[in-house]
Amino acid sequence: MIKVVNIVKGTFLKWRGEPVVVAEKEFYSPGKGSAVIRLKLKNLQNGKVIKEVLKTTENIEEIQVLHQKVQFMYKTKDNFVFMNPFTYEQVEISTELVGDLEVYIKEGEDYTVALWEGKPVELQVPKKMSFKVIKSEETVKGNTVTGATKPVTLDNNAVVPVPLFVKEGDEISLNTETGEYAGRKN
Amino acid sequence: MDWQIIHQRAEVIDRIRTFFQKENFLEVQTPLLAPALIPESYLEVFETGLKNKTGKSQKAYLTPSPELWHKKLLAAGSGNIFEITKAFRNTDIGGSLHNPEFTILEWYRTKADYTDTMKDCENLIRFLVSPQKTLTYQDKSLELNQPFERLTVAEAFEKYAQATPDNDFEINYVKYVEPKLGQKKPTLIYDYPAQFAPLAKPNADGLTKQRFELYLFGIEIADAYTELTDAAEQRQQFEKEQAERRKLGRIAHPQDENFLKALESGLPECSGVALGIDRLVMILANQKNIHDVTLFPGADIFKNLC
Repeated sequence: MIKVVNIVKGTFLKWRGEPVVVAEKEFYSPGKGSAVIRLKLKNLQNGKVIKEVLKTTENIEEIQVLHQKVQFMYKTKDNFVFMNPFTYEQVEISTELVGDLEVYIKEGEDYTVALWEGKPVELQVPKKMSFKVIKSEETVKGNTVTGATKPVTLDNNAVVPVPLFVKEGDEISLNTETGEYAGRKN
Repeated sequence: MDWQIIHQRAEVIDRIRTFFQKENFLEVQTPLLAPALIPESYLEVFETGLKNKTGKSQKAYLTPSPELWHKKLLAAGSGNIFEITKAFRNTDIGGSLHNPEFTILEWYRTKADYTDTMKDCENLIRFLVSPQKTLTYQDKSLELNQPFERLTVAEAFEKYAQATPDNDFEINYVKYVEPKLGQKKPTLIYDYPAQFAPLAKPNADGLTKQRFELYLFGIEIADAYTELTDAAEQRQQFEKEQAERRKLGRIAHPQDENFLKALESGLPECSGVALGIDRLVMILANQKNIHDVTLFPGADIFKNLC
Protein backbone atom coordinates (compact mmCIF):
# COMPACT_ATOMS: atom_id res chain seq x y z
CA MET A 1 0.00 0.00 0.00
CA ILE A 2 1.20 3.48 -0.72
CA LYS A 3 0.00 6.69 0.92
CA VAL A 4 -1.96 8.83 -1.50
CA VAL A 5 0.21 11.83 -0.57
CA ASN A 6 3.29 9.95 -1.82
CA ILE A 7 1.87 9.07 -5.22
CA VAL A 8 3.48 10.81 -8.19
CA LYS A 9 2.80 10.94 -11.91
CA GLY A 10 3.80 7.52 -13.25
CA THR A 11 3.04 5.51 -10.09
CA PHE A 12 1.36 2.18 -10.88
CA LEU A 13 -1.69 1.33 -8.76
CA LYS A 14 -4.62 -1.01 -8.47
CA TRP A 15 -7.85 0.98 -8.53
CA ARG A 16 -11.16 -0.88 -8.11
CA GLY A 17 -9.39 -4.06 -9.15
CA GLU A 18 -7.96 -2.57 -12.35
CA PRO A 19 -4.32 -1.71 -13.09
CA VAL A 20 -3.85 2.03 -13.56
CA VAL A 21 -1.03 4.54 -13.88
CA VAL A 22 -1.23 8.01 -12.35
CA ALA A 23 -1.47 10.54 -15.18
CA GLU A 24 -1.94 13.58 -12.94
CA LYS A 25 -1.92 14.30 -9.23
CA GLU A 26 -2.87 17.53 -7.55
CA PHE A 27 -3.50 18.76 -4.00
CA TYR A 28 -6.66 20.84 -3.92
CA SER A 29 -7.90 23.01 -1.06
CA PRO A 30 -11.64 23.59 -1.47
CA GLY A 31 -11.52 26.43 1.08
CA LYS A 32 -13.76 24.52 3.45
CA GLY A 33 -12.63 21.53 5.44
CA SER A 34 -9.43 19.68 4.62
CA ALA A 35 -7.44 19.56 1.41
CA VAL A 36 -8.07 16.64 -0.94
CA ILE A 37 -6.03 14.96 -3.65
CA ARG A 38 -7.31 14.98 -7.22
CA LEU A 39 -6.04 12.21 -9.45
CA LYS A 40 -6.32 11.36 -13.12
CA LEU A 41 -5.80 7.62 -13.46
CA LYS A 42 -5.25 5.91 -16.80
CA ASN A 43 -6.50 2.34 -17.02
CA LEU A 44 -3.65 0.22 -18.40
CA GLN A 45 -5.96 -2.26 -20.05
CA ASN A 46 -8.39 0.00 -21.90
CA GLY A 47 -6.63 3.37 -21.83
CA LYS A 48 -9.66 5.10 -20.23
CA VAL A 49 -8.85 8.05 -17.98
CA ILE A 50 -10.87 8.41 -14.77
CA LYS A 51 -10.91 11.29 -12.34
CA GLU A 52 -10.86 10.55 -8.62
CA VAL A 53 -10.87 12.65 -5.47
CA LEU A 54 -9.35 11.18 -2.31
CA LYS A 55 -8.63 12.21 1.26
CA THR A 56 -4.96 12.90 2.04
CA THR A 57 -5.03 10.16 4.69
CA GLU A 58 -5.96 7.33 2.33
CA ASN A 59 -3.77 4.49 1.08
CA ILE A 60 -3.92 2.76 -2.28
CA GLU A 61 -2.63 -0.63 -3.37
CA GLU A 62 0.36 -0.55 -5.67
CA ILE A 63 0.78 -3.15 -8.38
CA GLN A 64 3.98 -5.06 -8.92
CA VAL A 65 5.76 -3.80 -11.96
CA LEU A 66 8.98 -5.36 -13.26
CA HIS A 67 11.51 -3.27 -15.08
CA GLN A 68 13.52 -4.83 -17.89
CA LYS A 69 16.34 -3.43 -19.96
CA VAL A 70 15.63 -3.77 -23.70
CA GLN A 71 17.07 -2.64 -27.02
CA PHE A 72 15.11 -1.30 -29.95
CA MET A 73 15.10 -3.58 -33.00
CA TYR A 74 12.51 -2.44 -35.54
CA LYS A 75 9.08 -0.98 -36.05
CA THR A 76 5.98 -2.61 -37.54
CA LYS A 77 2.72 -0.90 -38.46
CA ASP A 78 1.28 -1.08 -34.92
CA ASN A 79 4.23 -1.89 -32.69
CA PHE A 80 7.77 -1.06 -31.76
CA VAL A 81 9.73 -4.27 -31.29
CA PHE A 82 12.40 -4.44 -28.59
CA MET A 83 14.68 -7.23 -27.48
CA ASN A 84 15.93 -8.24 -24.06
CA PRO A 85 19.71 -8.45 -24.62
CA PHE A 86 20.11 -11.19 -21.99
CA THR A 87 17.28 -13.56 -22.86
CA TYR A 88 16.88 -12.55 -26.52
CA GLU A 89 13.14 -12.42 -25.86
CA GLN A 90 11.23 -9.96 -27.99
CA VAL A 91 8.92 -7.42 -26.40
CA GLU A 92 6.34 -5.65 -28.53
CA ILE A 93 5.14 -2.25 -27.40
CA SER A 94 2.20 -0.66 -29.19
CA THR A 95 2.65 2.68 -30.94
CA GLU A 96 -0.19 3.88 -28.71
CA LEU A 97 1.80 3.14 -25.55
CA VAL A 98 5.00 4.67 -26.97
CA GLY A 99 3.06 7.80 -27.91
CA ASP A 100 5.14 11.00 -27.99
CA LEU A 101 8.31 9.12 -27.02
CA GLU A 102 8.48 7.92 -30.64
CA VAL A 103 11.03 10.66 -31.42
CA TYR A 104 13.46 9.08 -28.97
CA ILE A 105 13.36 5.54 -30.38
CA LYS A 106 16.69 4.71 -32.07
CA GLU A 107 18.14 1.42 -33.24
CA GLY A 108 20.56 -0.21 -30.84
CA GLU A 109 19.71 2.23 -28.02
CA ASP A 110 18.94 0.91 -24.49
CA TYR A 111 15.51 1.48 -22.97
CA THR A 112 13.60 0.24 -19.92
CA VAL A 113 10.21 -1.35 -20.21
CA ALA A 114 7.87 -1.75 -17.24
CA LEU A 115 5.90 -4.99 -17.31
CA TRP A 116 2.79 -5.90 -15.35
CA GLU A 117 1.80 -9.54 -15.43
CA GLY A 118 4.06 -9.96 -18.45
CA LYS A 119 2.45 -7.08 -20.40
CA PRO A 120 4.31 -3.85 -21.21
CA VAL A 121 2.70 -0.90 -19.42
CA GLU A 122 5.33 1.78 -19.80
CA LEU A 123 8.41 2.60 -21.85
CA GLN A 124 11.17 4.66 -20.26
CA VAL A 125 13.75 6.41 -22.40
CA PRO A 126 17.19 7.51 -21.16
CA LYS A 127 17.13 10.97 -19.55
CA LYS A 128 19.68 12.27 -22.05
CA MET A 129 20.13 11.07 -25.62
CA SER A 130 22.32 12.27 -28.44
CA PHE A 131 21.18 13.18 -31.94
CA LYS A 132 22.90 14.50 -35.07
CA VAL A 133 22.07 17.90 -36.54
CA ILE A 134 21.13 17.27 -40.15
CA LYS A 135 19.91 20.73 -41.10
CA SER A 136 20.80 24.14 -39.74
CA GLU A 137 20.13 27.63 -41.08
CA GLU A 138 23.18 29.85 -41.61
CA THR A 139 23.81 32.30 -38.73
CA VAL A 140 20.46 33.77 -37.90
CA LYS A 141 20.38 37.14 -36.16
CA GLY A 142 18.76 36.02 -32.94
CA ASN A 143 16.55 37.94 -30.56
CA THR A 144 19.09 38.34 -27.76
CA VAL A 145 16.35 38.76 -25.14
CA THR A 146 15.36 35.10 -25.53
CA GLY A 147 18.97 33.88 -25.38
CA ALA A 148 19.95 33.74 -29.03
CA THR A 149 18.80 30.37 -30.36
CA LYS A 150 18.04 29.00 -33.78
CA PRO A 151 15.93 26.00 -34.82
CA VAL A 152 17.76 22.95 -36.24
CA THR A 153 16.48 19.63 -37.57
CA LEU A 154 17.86 16.47 -35.98
CA ASP A 155 18.24 12.97 -37.40
CA ASN A 156 14.99 11.97 -35.67
CA ASN A 157 13.20 14.73 -37.61
CA ALA A 158 12.56 16.77 -34.48
CA VAL A 159 13.10 20.53 -34.74
CA VAL A 160 14.76 21.92 -31.62
CA PRO A 161 16.03 25.41 -30.64
CA VAL A 162 19.79 25.35 -30.02
CA PRO A 163 22.56 27.92 -29.34
CA LEU A 164 23.88 29.74 -32.41
CA PHE A 165 27.30 28.00 -32.36
CA VAL A 166 25.79 24.56 -33.15
CA LYS A 167 26.53 23.51 -36.75
CA GLU A 168 25.22 20.95 -39.21
CA GLY A 169 26.89 17.61 -38.53
CA ASP A 170 27.28 18.28 -34.80
CA GLU A 171 26.07 15.71 -32.26
CA ILE A 172 23.94 17.28 -29.55
CA SER A 173 22.39 16.02 -26.33
CA LEU A 174 18.68 16.34 -25.67
CA ASN A 175 16.96 16.25 -22.29
CA THR A 176 14.23 13.71 -23.10
CA GLU A 177 11.97 14.88 -20.29
CA THR A 178 11.72 18.42 -21.64
CA GLY A 179 12.83 17.93 -25.28
CA GLU A 180 15.37 20.72 -24.80
CA TYR A 181 19.01 21.11 -25.90
CA ALA A 182 21.32 19.83 -23.18
CA GLY A 183 24.82 20.26 -24.58
CA ARG A 184 27.06 19.49 -27.53
CA LYS A 185 28.96 16.21 -27.83
CA ASN A 186 31.93 16.99 -30.14
CA MET B 1 3.83 37.63 -21.06
CA ASP B 2 0.61 38.74 -22.65
CA TRP B 3 0.51 42.49 -22.11
CA GLN B 4 -3.07 42.65 -23.29
CA ILE B 5 -4.09 40.53 -20.30
CA ILE B 6 -2.12 42.70 -17.88
CA HIS B 7 -3.85 45.79 -19.30
CA GLN B 8 -7.21 44.06 -18.93
CA ARG B 9 -6.35 43.18 -15.33
CA ALA B 10 -5.59 46.83 -14.54
CA GLU B 11 -8.89 47.84 -16.12
CA VAL B 12 -10.85 45.31 -14.04
CA ILE B 13 -9.33 46.61 -10.81
CA ASP B 14 -10.09 50.17 -11.86
CA ARG B 15 -13.72 49.24 -12.55
CA ILE B 16 -14.00 47.48 -9.18
CA ARG B 17 -12.89 50.72 -7.51
CA THR B 18 -15.42 52.71 -9.52
CA PHE B 19 -18.19 50.32 -8.46
CA PHE B 20 -17.49 50.76 -4.75
CA GLN B 21 -16.93 54.50 -5.05
CA LYS B 22 -20.36 54.79 -6.67
CA GLU B 23 -21.77 52.85 -3.72
CA ASN B 24 -20.02 55.30 -1.35
CA PHE B 25 -17.78 52.69 0.26
CA LEU B 26 -14.61 53.98 1.91
CA GLU B 27 -11.39 52.48 0.50
CA VAL B 28 -8.95 51.48 3.26
CA GLN B 29 -5.37 50.16 3.41
CA THR B 30 -4.54 47.84 6.30
CA PRO B 31 -1.29 46.06 7.26
CA LEU B 32 -0.09 42.84 5.66
CA LEU B 33 2.11 42.16 8.68
CA ALA B 34 0.34 41.29 11.97
CA PRO B 35 1.51 40.12 15.41
CA ALA B 36 -1.50 37.81 15.78
CA LEU B 37 -4.16 36.34 13.50
CA ILE B 38 -7.69 34.99 13.48
CA PRO B 39 -7.20 31.20 13.85
CA GLU B 40 -8.52 29.38 10.77
CA SER B 41 -7.82 25.67 10.41
CA TYR B 42 -8.31 25.24 6.67
CA LEU B 43 -5.33 27.41 5.69
CA GLU B 44 -1.64 27.73 6.58
CA VAL B 45 0.14 31.01 7.30
CA PHE B 46 3.51 32.63 6.65
CA GLU B 47 5.57 33.37 9.73
CA THR B 48 8.35 35.93 9.85
CA GLY B 49 9.94 38.23 12.44
CA LEU B 50 9.90 41.99 12.87
CA LYS B 51 13.08 43.37 14.44
CA ASN B 52 13.91 46.70 15.97
CA LYS B 53 17.31 48.41 15.63
CA THR B 54 18.63 46.94 18.88
CA GLY B 55 18.09 43.45 17.52
CA LYS B 56 15.00 42.56 19.50
CA SER B 57 12.60 40.50 17.42
CA GLN B 58 8.89 39.65 17.54
CA LYS B 59 7.11 36.99 15.49
CA ALA B 60 4.96 38.44 12.74
CA TYR B 61 2.52 36.87 10.28
CA LEU B 62 1.40 37.75 6.78
CA THR B 63 -2.36 38.26 6.73
CA PRO B 64 -4.47 35.61 4.94
CA SER B 65 -7.16 38.30 4.57
CA PRO B 66 -7.79 41.83 5.87
CA GLU B 67 -10.74 40.63 7.98
CA LEU B 68 -8.96 41.07 11.32
CA TRP B 69 -8.42 44.77 10.61
CA HIS B 70 -11.73 45.45 8.88
CA LYS B 71 -13.86 44.26 11.77
CA LYS B 72 -11.89 46.55 14.10
CA LEU B 73 -12.61 49.44 11.72
CA LEU B 74 -16.31 48.54 11.59
CA ALA B 75 -16.47 48.41 15.40
CA ALA B 76 -14.86 51.86 15.45
CA GLY B 77 -17.60 53.27 13.22
CA SER B 78 -16.07 53.16 9.73
CA GLY B 79 -19.31 52.38 7.96
CA ASN B 80 -19.10 50.58 4.61
CA ILE B 81 -15.51 49.81 3.63
CA PHE B 82 -13.56 47.97 0.92
CA GLU B 83 -9.94 47.09 0.28
CA ILE B 84 -7.97 45.71 -2.66
CA THR B 85 -4.86 44.09 -1.24
CA LYS B 86 -2.76 40.92 -1.13
CA ALA B 87 -3.70 37.82 0.88
CA PHE B 88 -1.05 35.26 1.86
CA ARG B 89 -1.81 31.53 2.18
CA ASN B 90 1.13 29.24 2.68
CA THR B 91 1.19 25.86 0.83
CA ASP B 92 -1.24 27.25 -1.80
CA ILE B 93 1.25 26.66 -4.62
CA GLY B 94 0.43 24.38 -7.53
CA GLY B 95 -2.75 23.87 -9.50
CA SER B 96 -4.45 26.31 -11.80
CA LEU B 97 -6.50 28.26 -9.23
CA HIS B 98 -4.07 29.02 -6.42
CA ASN B 99 -1.08 31.29 -5.84
CA PRO B 100 0.55 31.65 -2.39
CA GLU B 101 -0.09 35.37 -2.48
CA PHE B 102 -3.17 36.50 -4.34
CA THR B 103 -5.01 39.76 -4.90
CA ILE B 104 -8.12 39.95 -2.75
CA LEU B 105 -11.06 42.34 -2.76
CA GLU B 106 -12.77 42.46 0.61
CA TRP B 107 -15.83 44.60 1.38
CA TYR B 108 -18.18 44.99 4.34
CA ARG B 109 -21.70 46.35 4.28
CA THR B 110 -23.25 47.47 7.60
CA LYS B 111 -26.93 47.11 8.50
CA ALA B 112 -26.86 44.13 6.17
CA ASP B 113 -26.80 40.35 6.11
CA TYR B 114 -25.58 37.83 3.55
CA THR B 115 -28.67 38.26 1.37
CA ASP B 116 -27.62 41.89 0.86
CA THR B 117 -24.05 41.02 -0.09
CA MET B 118 -25.39 38.34 -2.45
CA LYS B 119 -27.03 41.25 -4.28
CA ASP B 120 -23.71 43.16 -4.17
CA CYS B 121 -22.09 40.20 -5.96
CA GLU B 122 -24.79 40.18 -8.64
CA ASN B 123 -24.41 43.92 -9.17
CA LEU B 124 -20.60 43.84 -9.20
CA ILE B 125 -20.37 41.04 -11.77
CA ARG B 126 -22.98 42.69 -13.99
CA PHE B 127 -21.12 46.01 -13.73
CA LEU B 128 -17.77 44.46 -14.64
CA VAL B 129 -19.18 42.61 -17.64
CA SER B 130 -21.35 45.50 -18.90
CA PRO B 131 -22.24 46.60 -21.49
CA GLN B 132 -22.32 42.85 -22.33
CA LYS B 133 -25.15 40.98 -20.65
CA THR B 134 -23.53 37.57 -21.08
CA LEU B 135 -20.34 36.28 -19.50
CA THR B 136 -18.42 33.89 -21.73
CA TYR B 137 -15.56 31.63 -20.62
CA GLN B 138 -13.87 29.02 -22.80
CA ASP B 139 -16.83 27.56 -24.71
CA LYS B 140 -19.54 28.30 -22.13
CA SER B 141 -21.79 31.32 -21.43
CA LEU B 142 -23.75 32.61 -18.48
CA GLU B 143 -26.71 34.95 -18.78
CA LEU B 144 -26.40 37.73 -16.24
CA ASN B 145 -29.69 39.59 -16.56
CA GLN B 146 -31.68 37.21 -14.37
CA PRO B 147 -31.07 36.70 -10.65
CA PHE B 148 -28.17 34.35 -9.98
CA GLU B 149 -29.00 30.75 -8.97
CA ARG B 150 -29.41 30.47 -5.19
CA LEU B 151 -28.93 27.00 -3.76
CA THR B 152 -28.20 25.76 -0.22
CA VAL B 153 -25.33 23.34 0.42
CA ALA B 154 -27.85 20.67 1.44
CA GLU B 155 -29.85 21.18 -1.78
CA ALA B 156 -26.66 21.04 -3.86
CA PHE B 157 -25.55 17.80 -2.18
CA GLU B 158 -28.96 16.21 -2.76
CA LYS B 159 -29.07 17.32 -6.38
CA TYR B 160 -25.51 16.54 -7.45
CA ALA B 161 -24.03 14.06 -4.97
CA GLN B 162 -27.16 12.19 -3.93
CA ALA B 163 -25.79 12.52 -0.39
CA THR B 164 -26.08 14.73 2.66
CA PRO B 165 -23.31 17.12 3.73
CA ASP B 166 -22.71 15.04 6.89
CA ASN B 167 -20.46 12.37 5.42
CA ASP B 168 -17.32 12.70 3.31
CA PHE B 169 -18.08 16.40 2.78
CA GLU B 170 -14.84 17.35 1.03
CA ILE B 171 -14.81 14.37 -1.34
CA ASN B 172 -18.47 14.75 -2.36
CA TYR B 173 -18.12 18.52 -2.65
CA VAL B 174 -15.01 18.48 -4.85
CA LYS B 175 -16.02 15.48 -6.92
CA TYR B 176 -19.73 16.00 -7.52
CA VAL B 177 -20.99 19.39 -6.32
CA GLU B 178 -18.38 22.01 -7.15
CA PRO B 179 -18.01 21.16 -10.86
CA LYS B 180 -21.75 21.78 -11.31
CA LEU B 181 -21.90 25.24 -9.73
CA GLY B 182 -22.10 28.36 -11.88
CA GLN B 183 -22.44 26.43 -15.11
CA LYS B 184 -25.85 27.53 -16.38
CA LYS B 185 -26.22 30.69 -14.29
CA PRO B 186 -23.79 32.14 -11.75
CA THR B 187 -24.44 30.26 -8.49
CA LEU B 188 -24.67 31.60 -4.95
CA ILE B 189 -24.38 28.49 -2.76
CA TYR B 190 -25.23 29.20 0.87
CA ASP B 191 -25.90 27.85 4.38
CA TYR B 192 -22.80 25.78 5.01
CA PRO B 193 -22.57 23.14 7.79
CA ALA B 194 -21.65 24.93 11.01
CA GLN B 195 -18.06 23.61 11.28
CA PHE B 196 -17.05 25.30 8.01
CA ALA B 197 -17.71 28.91 9.02
CA PRO B 198 -16.25 29.89 12.41
CA LEU B 199 -16.67 33.61 11.70
CA ALA B 200 -20.25 33.50 10.44
CA LYS B 201 -23.58 34.00 12.20
CA PRO B 202 -25.42 30.72 12.86
CA ASN B 203 -28.86 30.05 11.43
CA ALA B 204 -31.75 29.50 13.85
CA ASP B 205 -31.44 25.71 13.53
CA GLY B 206 -27.87 25.87 14.81
CA LEU B 207 -26.75 23.35 12.19
CA THR B 208 -25.77 25.73 9.43
CA LYS B 209 -24.15 29.13 9.24
CA GLN B 210 -24.95 32.17 7.12
CA ARG B 211 -22.10 31.75 4.66
CA PHE B 212 -22.27 31.84 0.86
CA GLU B 213 -19.88 31.45 -2.03
CA LEU B 214 -20.15 32.78 -5.57
CA TYR B 215 -19.30 30.33 -8.35
CA LEU B 216 -18.70 31.09 -12.03
CA PHE B 217 -18.08 28.13 -14.36
CA GLY B 218 -17.29 25.75 -11.48
CA ILE B 219 -14.71 28.17 -10.02
CA GLU B 220 -15.11 29.71 -6.56
CA ILE B 221 -14.80 33.45 -6.95
CA ALA B 222 -16.03 34.87 -3.62
CA ASP B 223 -16.70 33.81 -0.03
CA ALA B 224 -19.03 35.74 2.31
CA TYR B 225 -20.83 35.69 5.64
CA THR B 226 -23.34 37.46 7.77
CA GLU B 227 -20.64 38.30 10.31
CA LEU B 228 -20.72 36.76 13.79
CA THR B 229 -21.04 39.63 16.26
CA ASP B 230 -21.22 37.64 19.53
CA ALA B 231 -17.76 37.89 21.14
CA ALA B 232 -18.21 34.90 23.48
CA GLU B 233 -19.35 32.66 20.64
CA GLN B 234 -16.44 33.91 18.49
CA ARG B 235 -13.95 33.06 21.26
CA GLN B 236 -15.36 29.52 21.43
CA GLN B 237 -14.99 29.17 17.67
CA PHE B 238 -11.37 30.40 17.95
CA GLU B 239 -10.67 27.63 20.48
CA LYS B 240 -12.09 25.00 18.12
CA GLU B 241 -9.99 26.33 15.25
CA GLN B 242 -6.83 26.43 17.37
CA ALA B 243 -7.41 22.81 18.43
CA GLU B 244 -7.86 21.77 14.81
CA ARG B 245 -4.72 23.69 13.79
CA ARG B 246 -2.73 21.84 16.49
CA LYS B 247 -4.16 18.53 15.29
CA LEU B 248 -3.09 19.31 11.72
CA GLY B 249 0.39 20.38 12.82
CA ARG B 250 -0.11 23.91 11.52
CA ILE B 251 1.99 26.90 12.61
CA ALA B 252 0.95 27.96 16.13
CA HIS B 253 0.31 31.70 15.96
CA PRO B 254 -1.03 33.94 18.71
CA GLN B 255 -4.73 34.65 18.32
CA ASP B 256 -5.79 38.25 17.82
CA GLU B 257 -7.23 39.27 21.21
CA ASN B 258 -7.81 42.82 19.91
CA PHE B 259 -10.17 41.31 17.37
CA LEU B 260 -12.22 39.75 20.18
CA LYS B 261 -12.08 43.08 22.10
CA ALA B 262 -13.51 44.82 19.01
CA LEU B 263 -16.40 42.35 18.99
CA GLU B 264 -16.90 42.91 22.72
CA SER B 265 -17.03 46.66 22.14
CA GLY B 266 -19.73 46.06 19.54
CA LEU B 267 -19.52 45.02 15.92
CA PRO B 268 -22.46 46.45 13.94
CA GLU B 269 -24.70 43.96 12.12
CA CYS B 270 -22.85 43.51 8.86
CA SER B 271 -21.90 41.18 6.06
CA GLY B 272 -18.53 40.93 4.34
CA VAL B 273 -17.25 39.36 1.13
CA ALA B 274 -13.77 38.19 0.11
CA LEU B 275 -13.33 37.93 -3.66
CA GLY B 276 -10.34 36.53 -5.56
CA ILE B 277 -9.47 39.19 -8.12
CA ASP B 278 -6.97 36.98 -9.96
CA ARG B 279 -9.63 34.29 -10.51
CA LEU B 280 -12.14 36.91 -11.64
CA VAL B 281 -9.62 38.33 -14.11
CA MET B 282 -8.88 34.77 -15.26
CA ILE B 283 -12.52 34.38 -16.24
CA LEU B 284 -12.94 37.85 -17.76
CA ALA B 285 -9.72 37.37 -19.79
CA ASN B 286 -10.74 33.83 -20.79
CA GLN B 287 -7.59 32.19 -19.35
CA LYS B 288 -7.36 28.65 -17.99
CA ASN B 289 -4.72 29.20 -15.35
CA ILE B 290 -4.22 31.81 -12.63
CA HIS B 291 -0.56 32.00 -13.70
CA ASP B 292 -1.65 33.52 -17.01
CA VAL B 293 -3.12 36.57 -15.27
CA THR B 294 -0.55 36.91 -12.48
CA LEU B 295 2.83 38.61 -12.88
CA PHE B 296 5.68 36.40 -11.57
CA PRO B 297 3.45 33.57 -10.26
CA GLY B 298 4.76 31.53 -7.32
CA ALA B 299 5.06 28.42 -9.48
CA ASP B 300 7.55 30.27 -11.73
CA ILE B 301 9.66 32.02 -9.11
CA PHE B 302 9.73 29.19 -6.55
CA LYS B 303 10.67 26.43 -8.99
CA ASN B 304 11.93 24.03 -6.30
CA LEU B 305 8.41 23.58 -5.00
CA CYS B 306 6.81 22.59 -8.29
